[in-house]
Amino acid sequence: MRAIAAALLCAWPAAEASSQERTVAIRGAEIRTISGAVIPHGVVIWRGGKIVGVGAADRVTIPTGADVLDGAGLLVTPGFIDARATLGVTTSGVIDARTIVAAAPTDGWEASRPLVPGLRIIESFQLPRGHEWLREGVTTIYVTPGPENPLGGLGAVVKLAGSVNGTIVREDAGLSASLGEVPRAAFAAQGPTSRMGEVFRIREALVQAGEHGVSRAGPAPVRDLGVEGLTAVLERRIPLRVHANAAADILTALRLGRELNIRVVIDVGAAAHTVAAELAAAGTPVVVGPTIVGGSTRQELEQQRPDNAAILHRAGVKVALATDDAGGRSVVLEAALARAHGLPEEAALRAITLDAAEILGVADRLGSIEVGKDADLVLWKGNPLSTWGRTEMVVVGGVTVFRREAR
Amino acid sequence: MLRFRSNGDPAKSGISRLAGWTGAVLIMIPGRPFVASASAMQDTIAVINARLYPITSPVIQNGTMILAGGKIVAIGRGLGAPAPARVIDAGGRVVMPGLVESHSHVGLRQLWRPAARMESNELSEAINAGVSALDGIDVTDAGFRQALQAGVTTVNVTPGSRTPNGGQAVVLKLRGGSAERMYLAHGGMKLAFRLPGWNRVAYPSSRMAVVGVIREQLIAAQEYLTRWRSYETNGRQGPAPRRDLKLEALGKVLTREWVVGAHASYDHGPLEMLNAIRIAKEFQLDLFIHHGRHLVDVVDEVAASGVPVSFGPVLPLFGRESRDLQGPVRLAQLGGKVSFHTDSPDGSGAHLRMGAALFVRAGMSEADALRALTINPASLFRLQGRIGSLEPGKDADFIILSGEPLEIESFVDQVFIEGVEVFNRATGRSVL
Repeated sequence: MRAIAAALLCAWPAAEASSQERTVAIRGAEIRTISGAVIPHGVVIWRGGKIVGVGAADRVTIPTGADVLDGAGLLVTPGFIDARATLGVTTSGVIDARTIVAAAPTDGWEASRPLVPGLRIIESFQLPRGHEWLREGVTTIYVTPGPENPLGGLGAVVKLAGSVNGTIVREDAGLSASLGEVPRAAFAAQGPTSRMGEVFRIREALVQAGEHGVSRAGPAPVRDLGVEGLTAVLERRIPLRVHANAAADILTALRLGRELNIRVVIDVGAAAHTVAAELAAAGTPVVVGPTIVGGSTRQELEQQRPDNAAILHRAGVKVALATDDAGGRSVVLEAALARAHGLPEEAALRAITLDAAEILGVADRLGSIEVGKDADLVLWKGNPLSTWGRTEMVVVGGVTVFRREAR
Repeated sequence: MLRFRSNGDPAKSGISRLAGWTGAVLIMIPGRPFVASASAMQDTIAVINARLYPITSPVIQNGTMILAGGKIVAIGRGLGAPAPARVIDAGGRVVMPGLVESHSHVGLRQLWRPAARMESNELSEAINAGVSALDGIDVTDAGFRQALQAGVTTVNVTPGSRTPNGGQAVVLKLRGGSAERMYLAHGGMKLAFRLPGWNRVAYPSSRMAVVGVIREQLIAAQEYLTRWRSYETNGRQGPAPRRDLKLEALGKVLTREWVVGAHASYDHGPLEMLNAIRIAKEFQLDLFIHHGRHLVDVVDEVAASGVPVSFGPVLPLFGRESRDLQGPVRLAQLGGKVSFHTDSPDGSGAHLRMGAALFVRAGMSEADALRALTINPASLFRLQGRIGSLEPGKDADFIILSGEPLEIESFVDQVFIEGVEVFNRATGRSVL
């Protein structure tokens, strides 16, 4: 762990690294617990990678022998979560790939066939060095297979500190599906070649998985890894994460959810704001973003707008924010832009903490500052959603992985 | 016919046109009332109660800016026009120069329209010096509107960068109407030191050959100039040399009538920057660098050369590596001239200001970041005498913001070009 921190920071004062065994407290900072009220002058205590105390400074006793950090004038949030990213699974050649090379080899999706529900993105994931996210306070991401495959495999929740795989929180957090312009372009040669064809393949795979192993005479069915992922969706243990941008594709995803009684999460959702009422009625969350975009070769992205999350929130849809990117965009800036365009600050922060954790199925461990949750904490100088907000310290699993050196 | 201008600075001619106003400027003494001639009063506008960010001088709280004839005639505190035709009460909000986008393809490339995806590139040959962006612009491109509504008043639309010489760029003011109506200035010549983006196998196909073909053509242009000069100095005796539009255009680069913007990006950005600087020294070109990816790796060399950098696209693409953010931060600290760009449509003009905020988060001073959005990009096109700051004599191109200039949640409430409102967020009025 220290070696990774050192790699990130170049010069890491080893003596300052908090070991998981020590009890550490921040005192005097404003605590944004997310799950509860803001504590203006509070204390957070952690030990063994978990939060062991949180509350008002005059009510919570810091154990003797604890390392106490002065948080006066600072602000503490949970580590931020990017609810859809491709960091660590795509190469940096994507700019060239889009305009120059038709299909560059990538670890981010399986190009040989359209339906690969048995794959796991964690097996393509290697935590890259030199990305900005941890220093920006983003401690956890949902790593997704690319939207090229109609069924692309299992996405994973990982923390951005640790070893080669980062720190795996859940390696089966969702099954990636995709509708719209991307899959039919990626598989133009072998199909599906149309929107309805994409939906048919997904529906067929789920229906057949439902019949797999249904009691019949004869030998037990052979194990099928793809079926296992699909079964987890059918049994509602994980959501089907549907990459869908056009309104028609979003409504199709809702229809699939009703038809098969599965949990659906809409990913990217450029036109989600146009079907906010339908999404709210279905109780389907949306992972919105990125909204900080230029032009696109895809017409389905034209309807993306910076107040997408605000409109969905007002309609009662649970929203998380995402960059869907490999390290360049910032989910913190996405939240800042969403706030600027009408998403209340509290909701903007929830969209990159607790609401994201709930959508990812990891809210028992992440997303808020509560006793028993992972000590993934960010100490801020200034508001995190402001130009002037800066991380002073980032803690992942109780270990300080970034600390701003005095200027 | 070639024209040899010793002074190719359109900014100066802009100021000289203002000679009639200098009298008024001279009496702009803070605390004294503004006095102007009766004829000037007819279109005098007073912007009052403003937090003025002149960029080239300190912030003025509760300031006033007097405009007339589309120009700024005075800024300061306690100024008053006796009876301006119009008063704009900024209500304490920030007033700063319109933003200048130093590199975009807006109007040329519209990505989701397959037919317009590659309209910024003429791919039939390596040196396209005679091609002009002005001849390819579609003013209905939504990118213009996005930029305007985000406070961008001036845009450099550049061709390229798939060929070593992509052609001539153009600087437009986003006042609406045809490309000719929006034309402000020539944007210089676009070179690209990257591997060409041919859709076939063609010369050059290596970086050394890219530099080679650029060098060969500049030498050909030198010889072309020599032929024309000797024809002129010999009293135009005998047949005139044949005109060659390509070499004629390159001749304007050699005489420094036009600036040169050199693309240096992707993984070989540092090498391409050094190659561009080498060619600029060899031919005494007035160079600036487009993109500057991985600038941090050659920032000392670039700073020493004095060559300005138009860095970007900042969002969404170039934040990919945290180290890259440090290039412009350090170049500004070393006294180099940094501008930002969005490379629209790869980025969006809507996020030019937010990109600057990203550098403030990475350690750049607010003053440096604001210059990188205004006076620095203006100076790339020698327009620093005309736009890019709030100073008497300059064009009245300014924006009114709902909050701090670099705060992400600030909105651009109003945009003015030469004193005329071209965007108003409250009323929805927008000329583009």
